[in-house]
Amino acid sequence: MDHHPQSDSAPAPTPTNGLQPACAGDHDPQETTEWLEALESVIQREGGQRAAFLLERLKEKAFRSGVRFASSATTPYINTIPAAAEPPYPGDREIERRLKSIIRWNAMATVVRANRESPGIGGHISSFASAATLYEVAFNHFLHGKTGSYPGDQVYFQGHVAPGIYARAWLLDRISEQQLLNFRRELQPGGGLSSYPHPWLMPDFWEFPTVSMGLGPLMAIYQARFNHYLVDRGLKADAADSRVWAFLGDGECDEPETLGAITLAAREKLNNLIFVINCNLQRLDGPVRGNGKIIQELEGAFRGAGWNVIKVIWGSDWDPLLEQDQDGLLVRRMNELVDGQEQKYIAMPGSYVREHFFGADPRLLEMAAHLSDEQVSRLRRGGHDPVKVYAAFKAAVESTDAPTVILAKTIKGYGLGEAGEGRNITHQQKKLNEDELREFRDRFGIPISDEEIGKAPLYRPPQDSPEMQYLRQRREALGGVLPSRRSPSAKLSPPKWEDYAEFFAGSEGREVSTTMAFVRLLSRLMRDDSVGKYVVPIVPDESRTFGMEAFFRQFGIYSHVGQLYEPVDSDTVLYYREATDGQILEEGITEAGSMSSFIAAGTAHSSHGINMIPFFIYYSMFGLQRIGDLIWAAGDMRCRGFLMGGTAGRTTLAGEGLQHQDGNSHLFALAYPNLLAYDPCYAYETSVIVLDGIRRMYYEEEDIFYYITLMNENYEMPILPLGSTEGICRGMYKLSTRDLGPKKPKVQLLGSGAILRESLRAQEILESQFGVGSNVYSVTSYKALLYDGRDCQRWNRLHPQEKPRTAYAQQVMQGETGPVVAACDYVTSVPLSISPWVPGPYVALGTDGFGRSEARKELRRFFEVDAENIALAALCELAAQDKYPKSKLASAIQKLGLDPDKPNPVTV
Amino acid sequence: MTTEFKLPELGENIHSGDVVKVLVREGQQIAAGQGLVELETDKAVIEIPSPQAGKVVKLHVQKGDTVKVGQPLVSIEAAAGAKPAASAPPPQKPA
Repeated sequence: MDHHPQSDSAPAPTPTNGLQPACAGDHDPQETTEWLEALESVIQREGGQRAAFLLERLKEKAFRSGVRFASSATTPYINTIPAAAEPPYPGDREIERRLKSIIRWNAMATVVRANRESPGIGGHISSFASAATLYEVAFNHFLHGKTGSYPGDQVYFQGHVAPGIYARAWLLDRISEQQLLNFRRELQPGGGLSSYPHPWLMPDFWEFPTVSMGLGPLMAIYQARFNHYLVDRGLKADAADSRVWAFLGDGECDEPETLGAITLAAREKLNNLIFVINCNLQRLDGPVRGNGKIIQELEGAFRGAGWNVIKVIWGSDWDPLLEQDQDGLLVRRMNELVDGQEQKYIAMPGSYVREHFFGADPRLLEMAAHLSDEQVSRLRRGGHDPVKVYAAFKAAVESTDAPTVILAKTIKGYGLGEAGEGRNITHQQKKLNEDELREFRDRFGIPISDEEIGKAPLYRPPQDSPEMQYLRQRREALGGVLPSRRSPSAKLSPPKWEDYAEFFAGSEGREVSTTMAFVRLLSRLMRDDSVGKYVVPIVPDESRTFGMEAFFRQFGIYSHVGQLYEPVDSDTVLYYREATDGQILEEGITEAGSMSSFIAAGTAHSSHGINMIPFFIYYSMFGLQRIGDLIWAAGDMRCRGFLMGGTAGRTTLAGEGLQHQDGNSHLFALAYPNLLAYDPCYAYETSVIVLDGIRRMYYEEEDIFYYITLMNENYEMPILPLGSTEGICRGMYKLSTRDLGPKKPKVQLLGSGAILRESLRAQEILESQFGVGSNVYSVTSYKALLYDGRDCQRWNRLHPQEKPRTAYAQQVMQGETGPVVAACDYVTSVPLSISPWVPGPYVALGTDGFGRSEARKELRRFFEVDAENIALAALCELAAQDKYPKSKLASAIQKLGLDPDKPNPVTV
Repeated sequence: MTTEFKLPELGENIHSGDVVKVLVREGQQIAAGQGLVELETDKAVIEIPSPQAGKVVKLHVQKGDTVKVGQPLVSIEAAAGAKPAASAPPPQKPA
């Protein structure tokens, strides 16, 4: 029975809003002993579970009685798994040790040789040196390869350990010696190896790019979640022992992306997810937390989020000492030591450690008295002890209800000795002199002679040696080699165009937006017999903004647990429906998380052998500008799918102002090599681009992905003009011609997105008010025209003897003369990018500058992209060519109602 | 038994829509949950599902009509054994 504080007979504690210090000194050791003995007795008689229950009740009672003490989010600074609970080690430890030493050597030699051949080429020795045991235990006992339709484990290798992964792959004959010697020299004869994991560069090897730090762990969380999604939707059989492993560094946890989604992993009970954080306490410049304890900090964060946390801090050498530590002195000493100090011990002799660590209390000195200085200096950290690491991994794969994080303490540059073990400079260390190489060789027992040592040769034992046999057997037992990326053909039959005729038929007088038209298309695609179930709509809490609320009922919002409540709008047609087999990923307000889901879905062709079709629909301003790095990673990963930039256009999104009005994304999109970018104006254009995109990505299986902007301005959608589909896909087509005869001047007007309609209006103005004829072209993709133009230009440069090729923009405007005036809702650099391929003088009008809250008409006047400004630009260019009288320009400005003294929009 | 199916509450803040497509015809047998009409509201296109299985005996709306919540959409003759529901199919029961 619980008591309210007031009803308690005990005197109420001093009321305070602050925390009461838990360690204010032990004033009554006898009482402390009694309590501890009582607890011990419960543990002995009734077990740990009962003890935990009582402690929980005590905590609750204390809280209700007004006692506030600091959070218990952390546990003591010792291993989570006590020595007595460790499982027996299943492998041959001696062979594994020798193999690990050989791999260590070859990883180091790879970097050292690369930098001798080519000084400054870079590379990292010390990251793998610190993590070798973590990887080797995982490779020998845990990480599953891919077999048949079984996806194996998806492993996010920490980017900086690449030399170690290559060294192992070389032993297994997966890469050649030549490649290994060409580490970081990918363009050399015989091929080389990429610095870090990049599926784009090594598509049969790497699966996940991880060196934009923080993105690996973030993507791993959503990958694990997406694996559940596929199973829950019945698209994939449950591969219960397939897991997502993310290896990362403690310094990497300072990136907000690393920890930013950990609550999702716990909320979704991702028991298929394991983080292994290599806590070497060291980052590039110095200690990760010199004045604190990174392992404790991370433990608190992960435990608070609901993860299963396993700390691997001390090696087996410490077990006897900890066993002696009945009164907790040693543990308290471990708890109080800051990381900066602990790093000092690594670089100092055993005598120093004895004096400064154990010397803090005579009883501790006594405890270590039987150890020599040499033994003291070799008291290992847990992450270098295979027994401890194995126990942690085993507990992790047995976790049933939560994701697991393993915090393994290691030494950066382990084994480098004077050359960098635990030193501040160690991350950058890439050169070892002959003495240092000899020390490394001796420490790890590599059979290389003194004569050879200076050359840092690679070493591989004979194929029939016990080491090599063991190496192969272990991988065979676990289903094959890792990392390994597959690209099985998972061709989908593309949707039949005739089934989509209504999307090309125009809106029959109704005014709709391209967003509405697209959402309708998406809804139709989701019911398509051939592709429907593979579509994954992803929204960052903006479904209603995009008019997608009808999807809730129709397709359901994915939730592993279904819907545990009756939604507030359950009496309406469009109620908020969550379902275990829901198709929509409603990610909440996280573009980074949504993009990670997009990547997991868009790479399912490789990771699961299923071509999934993700559509990520978001506020366009928060895409390439906000999460450009994830989109870059998507390109690297050969991700397929559609990024749909909604509410796009600096002047088309009215009212929202500076932060939301996107005039930038099409500029950023130019830089992503395999991202196709489109700014369509009409519903039929969007439909053609999407349907052709599905064909290219999922039938032709091209490793490309799409960025398509959608607008929320309502206007009538015309019918697809005959013969325009090729132009829509390739970037432009002629939409409207006003030829006023040979005596009248003529201009070429390029319009795109919602601003195309301003170009059409300018055509009217030019004809009716100034007697100027024009062609209007709808430019759906400047990027497509630019890439095509450059390709032609390059080919012509390299093939001067052959018939020159003509860029697509030139083909479309064949026979026309300038001037050419482009107008779009993005910065002018976007249309200007195609200037080499337009006939005659070229002017581009765009929306450079900060947006602001206004209505569309005023915004377009402000940014000078409306029909009147387009018309004026055309007249000025004609005047420069003496095709229109210069003397009439001033009156034209007046006639068009333009203000010549208006400030330049980029400046205000 | 024939029931007149009226446009139910669509969602918060949505009171009417324009019929952009009629998905069934008079005399057609339909299943519960099958789309009857597509309505376009301010910014969304919504498919209105049939509350019950049966035969469409009368269409009260046609393409281009503006329909308000509560206005009859179709009359449905219930299939044998099917119980007419008052509104849209209810959400799955909480576990």
